[in-house]
Amino acid sequence: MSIKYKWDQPRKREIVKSYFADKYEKALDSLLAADTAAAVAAAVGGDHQRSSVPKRGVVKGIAGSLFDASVERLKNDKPMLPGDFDTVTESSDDFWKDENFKQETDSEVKVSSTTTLETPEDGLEKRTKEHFLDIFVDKLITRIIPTRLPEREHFGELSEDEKRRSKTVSATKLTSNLKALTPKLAGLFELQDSIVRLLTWRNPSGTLTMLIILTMICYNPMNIIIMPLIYIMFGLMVPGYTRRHPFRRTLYPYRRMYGKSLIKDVTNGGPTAWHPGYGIQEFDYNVQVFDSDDVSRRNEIDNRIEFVVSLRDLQNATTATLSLSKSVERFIYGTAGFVDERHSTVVFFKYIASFCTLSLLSKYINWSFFISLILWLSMIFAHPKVKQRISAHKQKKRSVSSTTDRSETHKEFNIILDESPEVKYVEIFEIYKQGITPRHWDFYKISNQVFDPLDKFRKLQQEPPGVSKLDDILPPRTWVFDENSEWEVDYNVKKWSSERGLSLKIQDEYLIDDSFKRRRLTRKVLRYANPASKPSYKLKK
Amino acid sequence: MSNTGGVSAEYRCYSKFIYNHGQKPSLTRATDSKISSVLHRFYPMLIIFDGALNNIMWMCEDICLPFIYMVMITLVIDMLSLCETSASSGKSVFGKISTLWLGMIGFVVLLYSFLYYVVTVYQDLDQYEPPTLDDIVILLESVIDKLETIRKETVSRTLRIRTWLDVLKFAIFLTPIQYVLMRYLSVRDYALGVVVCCLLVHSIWFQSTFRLFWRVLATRIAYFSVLSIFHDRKQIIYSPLIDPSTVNEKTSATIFVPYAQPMHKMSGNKLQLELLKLYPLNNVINGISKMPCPGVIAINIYIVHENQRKWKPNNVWEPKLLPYEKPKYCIELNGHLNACKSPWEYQESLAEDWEWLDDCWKPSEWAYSDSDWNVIGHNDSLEAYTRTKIWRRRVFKVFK
Repeated sequence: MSIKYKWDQPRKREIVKSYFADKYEKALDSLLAADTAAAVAAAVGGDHQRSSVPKRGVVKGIAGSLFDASVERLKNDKPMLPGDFDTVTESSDDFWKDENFKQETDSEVKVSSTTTLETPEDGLEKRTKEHFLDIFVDKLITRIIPTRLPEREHFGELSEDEKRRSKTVSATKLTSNLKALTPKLAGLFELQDSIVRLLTWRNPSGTLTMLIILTMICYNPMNIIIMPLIYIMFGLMVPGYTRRHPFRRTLYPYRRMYGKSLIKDVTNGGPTAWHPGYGIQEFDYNVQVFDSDDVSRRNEIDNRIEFVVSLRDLQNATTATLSLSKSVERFIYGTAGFVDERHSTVVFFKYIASFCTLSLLSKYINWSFFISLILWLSMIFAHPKVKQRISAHKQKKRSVSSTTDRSETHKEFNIILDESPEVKYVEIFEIYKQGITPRHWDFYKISNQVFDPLDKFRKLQQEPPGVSKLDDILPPRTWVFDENSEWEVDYNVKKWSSERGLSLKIQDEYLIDDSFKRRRLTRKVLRYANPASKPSYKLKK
Repeated sequence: MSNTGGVSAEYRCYSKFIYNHGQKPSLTRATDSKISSVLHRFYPMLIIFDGALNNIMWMCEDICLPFIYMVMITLVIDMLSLCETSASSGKSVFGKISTLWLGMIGFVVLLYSFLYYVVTVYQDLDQYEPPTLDDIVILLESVIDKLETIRKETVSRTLRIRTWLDVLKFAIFLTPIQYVLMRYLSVRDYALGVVVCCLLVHSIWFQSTFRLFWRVLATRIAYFSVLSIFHDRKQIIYSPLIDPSTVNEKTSATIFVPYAQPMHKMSGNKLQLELLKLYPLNNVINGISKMPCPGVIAINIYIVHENQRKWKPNNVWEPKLLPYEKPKYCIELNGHLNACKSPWEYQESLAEDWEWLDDCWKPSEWAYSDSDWNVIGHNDSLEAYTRTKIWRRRVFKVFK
């Protein structure tokens, strides 16, 4: 009876809420349209409106977003739509059920259903309360950003629902994705750890195994496909099977391990092993906790640590990605963008030289041997002990050569930057105003406008933008005037006036209308190179 | 008119570029109908020709298409390998069949794609509204511009063969290279290399690479040493560094003026001053004889060129010049430029019996020129990469 009572209340509320939600959806749409109209009006409005409208717009936008969020909250109470597949897959996923342990899973379901039965209303309230801010932010974002965002390419045709989802920016979705992604990244970071361990000889036998496998791949590239198959079969599936059906092979604990491995000792550099000095606190994700008494508690702690560690790693990974993208950008816009012309030219020739050498010699080189040799040598040189000695040797050599190396300045002269600059011609107009008599003309302005009767400044009865001295005229940005050329009067008035669609009276080099006359002056401008390209976000600044 | 003087004081007036593609009066009325009709018939061919030029210059909208055509052409050329003896080609029967098949397919696809393009051009022209005369002229201008670009790219920095002697030299120069190439390359490889180079040479990648290569000193030295075979590059004699006595001996520009009676008693500075009065530096002197004889004064003028080059990135003028161009100092001698010491070193090593007529070296203004020493003016500008200053000073000798 009590259960029935508990169900009745929310149902009523739900019906009422859904009714209001439906009702207000239309109102919401009309409000949105009104808002957009107001924003457009603000954008094209006159000067006197400019100061007041944006503030009002902001207030209106925030209020609107609050209203939207409340409506969205009401909408949440509605029965779930079939399109919300994320939540569907999360809740009704049978994937983690174990076919051999039906009893256990059934009981789990029962437990969970009873808990939901107990507090359906509370849970709902909590969820909507938690997400109210998210929804509010979402709505605010949708109001700030333009409605039509550029779309990305897709492999196939998207359904309407998918399109709608992919088009909008949602803080809720982003957060939930991040939350779901973070714990799953643990495996990826573990992989990164193990690769670093292999490359830094922290796991010498592993490094050697890696080298052997890479050599095998070098000699037969088909191993790139074969090796993963082996890994899937025996590295993933067999352990999965043995975990389910363990081989009862008893391992007896020894008090002490006698004897040492030659390979490990050699690669570790003898008894004075180098790597414990690092002091890295490792976290074993695959720790077995079956026999522990407080399994659940320990699991919980482990999960928390794992989550935080993953979050930290994700943060570091984004930092690393940023620095990587920065260096890629430095190359693309710096070296490849010919910012330092001499350096870039040298780099280009280094690449062209290696391209020619490789394409000519590639036929005659045993690449399998060559690449595997490079791999082995580079790994040997990357060994901390060897590396230390090499760097000490290099340091010594550098200190000796720095005093004698003067050939650098001489080498600079082998690249000659003497490309003829880009040449263009610019024009300006010398405008005269009619004086007291029709033959009397007074100098008026030097302008880049023709200032003909249809000129916008003339219609507004304003002076054309210009200067009074020829020396004050500037070349277009990034260009310079040719010092060996002067301003020249263009005597082909008919040509330049017809190019502008002007049919006015021509007298000598002047084009005359009822109040003004003007002549065109041209001059040569030069530019050695276009300004180097920059990423789009730098241009905005 | 309202005065906006306050604004104009801060206003920065930028000059505007002159664009050639401005509004032009419509040609439709101004052109004879016969010409219009001829141009109209010519239009489809112009479009096809423009398309071909676009492919040659890799300027198509879809850049992958010229590449695919190039691969097909290489497949067709690859059929040449079938003509070679089996020992050299080293292909199995299957390989030969596939080469032949691919070559034929390539040829057919090329032919059909060309025909298809031609047909679709005509179809499109029928379907859409006919072009105006302005459209045709714009296309014509575009074709001419492309042809001009191709011409410039082909002619610049290449050998110019003008005389039969040049042809002979060219043949002698190329024969050993061709022999070596044909010795080590098969006909197929040779043809392939030439065709691919021809197809790529007008692409922006090739031209940029060419320009970047031109920045390297070694390329220029190689180019000019090849060029020197074909052209008389003996306008500049680099060695030995010529000295004043050699100039006096070899010059044919010596002017002989009369050793008049009043001068006989003069010597040293007095004689020099008298001569300076009679013959100022900038005046043209008319000589009395062409050969030295008693009773004349020989006057020689030393014209020394001081050359400098501008070095980037700091745009510094330095006397360091490139090995293939003019030396730092050179003197004019019988129409040639000879490498010489600096004018100040000349001062110390004047030949016997000769005396300085002018008190000091008189310099001219710097004449600025581009990288190829073509004079552009007296001001340093972005175009200027080299400059020359001419130092003048005269010497005299009395033949008693």
